[in-house]
Amino acid sequence: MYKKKKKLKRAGIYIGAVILVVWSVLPVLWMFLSSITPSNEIIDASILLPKHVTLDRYKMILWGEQIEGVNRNAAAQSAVFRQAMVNSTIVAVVTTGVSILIGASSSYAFARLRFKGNGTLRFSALFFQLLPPISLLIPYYIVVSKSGMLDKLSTLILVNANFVLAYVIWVMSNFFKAIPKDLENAARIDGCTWMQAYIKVALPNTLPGFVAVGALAFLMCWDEFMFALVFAQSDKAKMITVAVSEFGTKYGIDYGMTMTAGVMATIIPMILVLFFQKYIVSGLTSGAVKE
Amino acid sequence: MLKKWNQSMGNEKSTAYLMVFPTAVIITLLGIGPILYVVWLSLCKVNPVTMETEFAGLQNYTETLSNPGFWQSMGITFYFTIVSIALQLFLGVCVALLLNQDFRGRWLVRTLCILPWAVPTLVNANLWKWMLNTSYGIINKLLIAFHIVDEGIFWLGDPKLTLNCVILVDTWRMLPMVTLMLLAALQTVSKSTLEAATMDGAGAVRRVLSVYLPSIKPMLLVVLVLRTIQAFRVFDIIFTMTKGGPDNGTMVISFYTYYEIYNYLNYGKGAAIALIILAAMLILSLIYMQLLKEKD
Repeated sequence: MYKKKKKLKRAGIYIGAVILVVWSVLPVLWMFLSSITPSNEIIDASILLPKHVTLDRYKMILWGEQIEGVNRNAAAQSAVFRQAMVNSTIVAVVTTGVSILIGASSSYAFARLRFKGNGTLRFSALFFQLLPPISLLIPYYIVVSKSGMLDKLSTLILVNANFVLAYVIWVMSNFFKAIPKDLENAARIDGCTWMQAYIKVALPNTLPGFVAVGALAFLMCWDEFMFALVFAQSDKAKMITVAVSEFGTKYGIDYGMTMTAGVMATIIPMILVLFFQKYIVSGLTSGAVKE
Repeated sequence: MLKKWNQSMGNEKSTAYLMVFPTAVIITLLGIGPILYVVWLSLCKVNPVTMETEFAGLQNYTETLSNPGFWQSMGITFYFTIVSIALQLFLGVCVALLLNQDFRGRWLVRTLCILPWAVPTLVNANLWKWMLNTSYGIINKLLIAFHIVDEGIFWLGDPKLTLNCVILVDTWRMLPMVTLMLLAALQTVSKSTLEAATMDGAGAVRRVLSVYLPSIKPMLLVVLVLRTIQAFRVFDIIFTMTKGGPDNGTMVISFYTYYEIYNYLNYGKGAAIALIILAAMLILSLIYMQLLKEKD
C-alpha cells in the first residue's frame, strides 16, 4: 500500500516535470524552427513541421547577404537590426556600469553610515522603483525634444539609469547589511578610513551580489521598451526591442524574419540567465526579504 | 593639505555625503524634478507644438475622472493585474513545490523552466502573436490536426479572449521568476519541521497547507508586490500584440495614457492620468507594506 502510493507520487512528479518542460521549451523551440523554415512553408497552413531547413535568414540578418525569396525590405531592416543590437548592448552595458558604480557606494552609505537625510534619500531612491515609467515620459519627452537630445544613446542611458539605479540601491544595501559589522570594525581599528573599509572590506565581500545585480540590471535595460520607442526612432539610434518587431512588407509582418531577430535578441539574455542562475535568484530575493 | 583631506575622509558624515552625492544628483534631476514638472503640467493646457503652458486648474483631472473610457481602462488594468497575478502565484506555488521534490533530472528541469524568462518581453509578444496567428499559427494548426476544432480560432479577435491571451503570454514569461523566488523560500523550510509534521500524521496536502505555505508567506507577499508593480505598468506586450484592441478590450491604463499623449497630443491630460496611476500605485503599495509589516 505504502509502496504503491510512493510509486504513484513518483509518476505524478515525472508527469508534472514533463508538462513543465514542454510548456517552457516548446515556444522557444518553435521560435527557432520558424526562423529556419523556408518562407513558402511558413505560410502553408497544411504543414506542421518544416520539411526543409534554411539558414538564409541568419545570413541576411548577420551579414546582410541578399537572399532570393526573402522579402525585399528585409536587407534594409536587417541593417537597422544589426545597428540596434550594437546600440542596445552599449546602452545596457553603460547603464549597468554607471548604476553599479554610483549605486554601490550609495548603498553602502545607506546601509552602514549615519548621516542626516539617510532615511529620506534612501526612501526617494526606492520610490522610483514603484514609479510607472509612463509618469515620467511627458517631462522627459518635453525636455529631450526641446534640447535636441532625441535619437541619442546618451539620452537612453540617462532615462534608464534612474530606474536601474533605484533597483541597484534596493538590492545592494541589503547585501551590505548582510556582511558582519565586525569585519569593518576590525579594519577601522586598524586605522582604515570609512572609504578604505568600504573598498578593502565591504566590496570584496559582496562580489557575488555585484554579479547578481549586474546581470539583472543588464536584463532590465535590454528589455526596456517604452523609452526606446519614444526617444530613439531614427534607424541609427533604434534599440533592439523596437527593431525586433519591424520586419515586414506592406502586406504584413514577416514572421520568419521576426523570429530570426527574436532568436538573435534572446541569445545574450539566455547566456546570462543560464550562467548566473544561482546569483540571479539571490538578486531577486535578497532585495526583497530583509528590509 | 593631504592630512586635512585624510582627516575629513575619516569622518563618517563627509564620507557618507561623498558616497551618496551622485545618487542625490540623479534622483533630483531625473526623478524629483520631472515629477514636480508633471504635477505642474497636469494643471495646465499644453500647446503640443510650442509646449507653452496655460494654467487650467483641475480641468484635466475632472475631464479624466468623468471619462468612461478612463474607467473602462482602469477596469481592464485591474482585471489584467489580478488575474495574471492570481494565476502566476497559484502556478508558481505548484511548480515550486514540484521542483522542491527530489527526483532524477531535477537540475535539468529547473534549468529548462527558466528559459521563458530569458526571452525578452518584446520577443515574447511577437513569438506568441505568431503562434496565435489564425491561419498559420502553430496553436491553431495543432488544434486542427488533432481535430479539436475544424477552423482556426481567431485568438486576437474577441476583446475578452484577447485579454486572456495576453495574460497567458505574460504568465508564460513571468512564471519562472515567481517560481524561483518561491522555491528559494521553500528551501529554507527545515527538514526537522517537515519530519515532525509527518510524524504527527500530516498528509501531503496538510503539509503543504500548514508547513510550506506559512513559511513562504513573506515571500509570497514580496512576489505579490513586485508583480503588482510590474503588471500595473504593462505596456510592451499590449503595444506589440493588440495596440489596445480589439474594441479597446486590452486598453490597459499605460497604453491609454500613451494614446492620450501621442495620438491626441494632450500632454496636460496625459500628465493628469499618469499622476492618477501613480496615486493608485502608492495606495496599493501602502496596503501591501502594511501587510508585510504585520508579518514581521
